[in-house]
Amino acid sequence: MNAWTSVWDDGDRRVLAWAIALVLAWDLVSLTLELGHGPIGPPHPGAPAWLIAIGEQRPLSLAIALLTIAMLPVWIRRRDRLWPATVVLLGAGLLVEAAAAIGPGPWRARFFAGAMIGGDLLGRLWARGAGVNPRARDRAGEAGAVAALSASYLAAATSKMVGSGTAWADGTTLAAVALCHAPFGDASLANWIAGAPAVTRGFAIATVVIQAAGGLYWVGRASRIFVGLALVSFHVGVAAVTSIGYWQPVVLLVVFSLPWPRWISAPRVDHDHDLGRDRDRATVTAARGWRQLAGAGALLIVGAWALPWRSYTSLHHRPRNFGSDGTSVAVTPVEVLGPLRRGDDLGDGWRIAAIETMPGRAAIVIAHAQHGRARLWLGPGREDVRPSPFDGEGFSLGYDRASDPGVISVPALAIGERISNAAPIDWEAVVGGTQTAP
Amino acid sequence: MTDLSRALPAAIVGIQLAVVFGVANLYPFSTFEMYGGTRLTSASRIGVRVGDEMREVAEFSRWRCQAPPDPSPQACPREWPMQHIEAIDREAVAWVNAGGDPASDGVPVEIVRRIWRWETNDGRASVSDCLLARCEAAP
Repeated sequence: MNAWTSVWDDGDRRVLAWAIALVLAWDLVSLTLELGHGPIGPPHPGAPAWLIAIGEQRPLSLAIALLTIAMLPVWIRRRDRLWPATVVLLGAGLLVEAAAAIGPGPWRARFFAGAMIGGDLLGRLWARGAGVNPRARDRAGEAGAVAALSASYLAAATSKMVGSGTAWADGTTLAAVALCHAPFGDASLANWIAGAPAVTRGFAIATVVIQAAGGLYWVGRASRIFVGLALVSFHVGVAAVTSIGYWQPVVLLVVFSLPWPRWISAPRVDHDHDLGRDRDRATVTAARGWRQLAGAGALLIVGAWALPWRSYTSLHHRPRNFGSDGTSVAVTPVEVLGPLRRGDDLGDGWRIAAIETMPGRAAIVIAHAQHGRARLWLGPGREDVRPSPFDGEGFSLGYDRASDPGVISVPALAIGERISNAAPIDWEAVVGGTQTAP
Repeated sequence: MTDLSRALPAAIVGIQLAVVFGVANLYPFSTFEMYGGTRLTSASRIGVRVGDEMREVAEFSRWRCQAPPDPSPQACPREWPMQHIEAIDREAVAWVNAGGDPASDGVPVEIVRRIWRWETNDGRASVSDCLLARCEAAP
């Protein structure tokens, strides 16, 4: 059976649209309140001035929020049209990105409603092209919305596997996230799981398994119910352990995953009389629907990959240098930089504890059992950089003023020797090619 | 029931994934890597040490510190680098800086960055504290 079925096949799908709209309205209200408190940190280093202005000028953000909320009933009535969904996504997107620009990054629980509106739009685009009746368009919209929700969880599982690989399953990342967020106190669940490696490993594996199962959420009725409930349990568990509450997707999952029209009469409709009427026509003209969907999909994918979004968005949610001078520099931990690898032995008891890249330079953190840690700044050699005794041909290797160069000379010279003897580092690719004085 | 093929939601899943991994995190598309983008081997949070006990800064509302606590991780050069959540750290320090004077009710406390580090293979973390400020604090 290749036919798609839904737990809402007997239901009034306006209820689903209202659920998405209410979650989005909740997002917009909470965003506006949040923006009213002003910046909570230095702005994103690459954020355009107009986006920061939206985040910092309350009347502007309030106006955008109110206009977007006012558009939601229009979107519900005219979901087949492109413009209401576009206006809603644009308004919500401006506010979410403005909040991300003046803070440490976007609160991604707010992405789900928007993603589902986008998925609904793609489903309806296919349905309009296929020329099916309004009920069938609603089904196609629902299919698109659940597909978008499903893709969000599949992306979450995939990105963890790509980013951390099987190392995710050792549980330290999960324990670290829990401890960074959870309250102090021996009674907290985070402290408990951090002290129980086997439990942490179990939770880490379960996280990826449940999120990967989210990729099957769209398939049919049974998968919708089981995967939906598993995802709700997952979010509740995460909230209990880490205090990170993703309640927006929880609400959407509860509404979309369960057969409410079978249980209660209010959202139930009898539409057998007009379903199937255009079945033949849908079959005949489906090719046009596919052409439209393919065109829209190609436009989105090309736009996503051809434009340099990642150079901006990759700086969100990275550990930042936020010193007293107000600078905010994104830092990316890496395992390998040229001939250097995390964990490498540098001699005299020193090893590489961490390698981090950031705009203009990289930090090589070295560690020693007695001397503790020190930081070396590696970058492309330039005249405006404070000279260091460890500099070499084509690279600079500085150190923090707090470090004693005599103590760190063995590991610094070892790093310099490796850089000199290895193939030249592509600084443009690693740190953007520019240099900032340490 | 209108026969809607599973190919439609499958295609939309494919489109969404292709877009998501192109933009990374641009509303409403996200990879939702949620700290899974790289393996973490450390964690840290700012809190209040009262004797041997760690407490939340929010448990105190009035403060008198010898110097304002610095939320920057560079305030702990010996422990750097460590995982930290900028927003949570800033919120903690903003709470301290916004508090009134404890007058004569204050008790001696230390505002510290507590750091957990996983450096062995047994899955257990070592714990250390980096002193950020000595203060008197009252509920």
